[in-house]
Amino acid sequence: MIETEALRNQFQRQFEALGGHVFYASNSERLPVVLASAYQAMVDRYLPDGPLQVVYWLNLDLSVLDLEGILGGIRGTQCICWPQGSRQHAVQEKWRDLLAESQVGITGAAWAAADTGSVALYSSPSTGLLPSLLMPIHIILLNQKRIQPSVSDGLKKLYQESETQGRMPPLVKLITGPSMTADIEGQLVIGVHGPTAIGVVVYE
Amino acid sequence: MAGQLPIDSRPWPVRRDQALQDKTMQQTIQFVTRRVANAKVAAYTAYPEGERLRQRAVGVKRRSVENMEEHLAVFAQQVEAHGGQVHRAKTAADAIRTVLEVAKNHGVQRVIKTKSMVTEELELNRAFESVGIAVRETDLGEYIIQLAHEKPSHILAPAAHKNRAQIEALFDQDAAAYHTEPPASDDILALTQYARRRLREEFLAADMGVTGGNFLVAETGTLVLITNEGNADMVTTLPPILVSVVGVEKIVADWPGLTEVIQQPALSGVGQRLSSYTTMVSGTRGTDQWEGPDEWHVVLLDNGRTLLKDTPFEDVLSCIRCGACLNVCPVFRQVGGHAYGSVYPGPIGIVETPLLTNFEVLPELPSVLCTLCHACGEACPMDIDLPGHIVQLRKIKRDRHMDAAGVTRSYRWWARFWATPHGYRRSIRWARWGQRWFVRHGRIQSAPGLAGGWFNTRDMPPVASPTFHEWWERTRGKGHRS
Ligand code: SF4
Repeated sequence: MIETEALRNQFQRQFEALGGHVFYASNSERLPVVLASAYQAMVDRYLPDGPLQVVYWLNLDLSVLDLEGILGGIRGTQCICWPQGSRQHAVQEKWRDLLAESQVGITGAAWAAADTGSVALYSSPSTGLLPSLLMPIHIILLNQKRIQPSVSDGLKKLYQESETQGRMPPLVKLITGPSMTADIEGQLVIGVHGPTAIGVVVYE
Repeated sequence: MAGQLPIDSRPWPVRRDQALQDKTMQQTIQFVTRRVANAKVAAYTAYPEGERLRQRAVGVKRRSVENMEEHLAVFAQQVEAHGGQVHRAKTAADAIRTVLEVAKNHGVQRVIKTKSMVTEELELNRAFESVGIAVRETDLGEYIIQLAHEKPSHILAPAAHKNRAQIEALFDQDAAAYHTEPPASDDILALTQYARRRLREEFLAADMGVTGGNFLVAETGTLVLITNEGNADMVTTLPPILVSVVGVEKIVADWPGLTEVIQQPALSGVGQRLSSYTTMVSGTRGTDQWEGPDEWHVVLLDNGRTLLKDTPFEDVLSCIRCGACLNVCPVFRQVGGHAYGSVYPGPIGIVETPLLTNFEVLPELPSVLCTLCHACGEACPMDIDLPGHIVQLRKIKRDRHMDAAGVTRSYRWWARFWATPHGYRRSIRWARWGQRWFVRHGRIQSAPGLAGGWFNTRDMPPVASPTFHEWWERTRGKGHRS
């Protein structure tokens, strides 16, 4: 218990040092409220005007979470669940356009690493990277049990899972801070291609 | 077989003078290199495990390179078992042929790229354009220099030689060509936002993605890409066809090995524990997946690399392209990357350029762009003996009679005198006698023959009368003070 709390605190420190935002729901009943206020805080800060469209997928333990119910009241947010439909190209292209015009991606996570403040996402039949890619805001719902002490531990976990699955996921992404660059005159700028703002809602 | 590297064929004095006159470049390079060199030191200080990790990473890279061929075979097997295809390219020309063939087979029209030194090595963009395929660099710095038709000036900060006004002008031109709104101002944020908007269109329209690679994991057939901007994620996730061109030396034997090396490029390169995005590709999308390329080709490039195997220079193949050696090099900080004339600048470039090409191009690098201060040797996280190699390369050059005859003669003459105390004293006496014609305002301002070049930009104090040695001899040497 104390250990998970220590890991959560370490993760939070690292993630915030990178410029990310961390919110905490101490139990599953509080999650909807915490998520709603996290969402509100982030959109108000980073996208003060305009319509809001969310594309999301959630980890299995949250499959009952009613995202539309939670976020629908905030500035008329539309929620779209990913993935759906067929895997044909035409459908995929439509998805791409839809993702490109959305403002917020909400995803679960495979694991997180406390020592580096990283979050790992896998592509799998029910989880993916696209909703974390194109939108200006990315919010991750992270079960605190998924926080590993270090990125090596997380990678070990990925390896063990792949052994039982028979293969690695085709794509894996570790997110360690927002998209940034120092390519112009060496000055740091946040938000080049990926999200400008990332937030994690840790829940128990 | 020796590799092929594109070079700037202008002679060194021309490249040098151009660099020394470019104040924008000098200012930015000095700012950037200092900032990241300091960030690296701070990152290690704040991360006690960092040093232990680094040492383990050196071991992993060395062992992986030792049995490179074996691991590459396993890698190929794994990639092919997961839907990808692996191509071996002996030379740059082979690699280009392979990539263009893949593009042609699919009728590719638009390519998007992540930053990759290897594709610079191939001049892949030029190859694409020569067959009418549009190619777009998506790393912000690379995008800027692509618009300017220039080469990277730093392996991690390719556009470090451009200031915001120059970049705004480039973006304005680009906006006019693509009928889109130009950047709002020359503010750095506005420029970045313009690039985000413009490149977004290119990401969504591309039919093929091209990446380099930071690591290849043999055991799992995984390609690892490290970026801060997030462009590698776009390139690996959006287009249906993915081509990754990677040097053979990037191979790591197994997954535990990867976990030991994965933090090194960011830790030593920019002083972060990990870069913002680490992307791992381990195969094609397959029938049950939503994401991942439909087709994945990995081109394993040799281009002179295996020449270094089983030589005293083998450790060079452990280079992770972190740029730490560039950032601490006093010469690089003055002249920037272009002056080297090679795609690989800085201390590692000095060593690799002649080695990969068997001294066919830019053999002058080890002699003219190094002061042997050893800063690079201390900075290199992979413990590559850069200063030692530079000395060896100078020696090889001399043994192969590659130095200009005048230079060799002068050094031989000099060495003959300074090899003995007696010869040294004699040379000093002669210099004192001869210097009278070259002293102005109490300093030696010029010299005859080859030595004259040394005084182009500096002067030196004249030989004293008496010298310390002479004074010592006269006073202490005879056992009394005067
Ligand atoms: S030689 Fe060493 S310091 Fe230089 S880029 Fe390679 S790994 Fe980094």
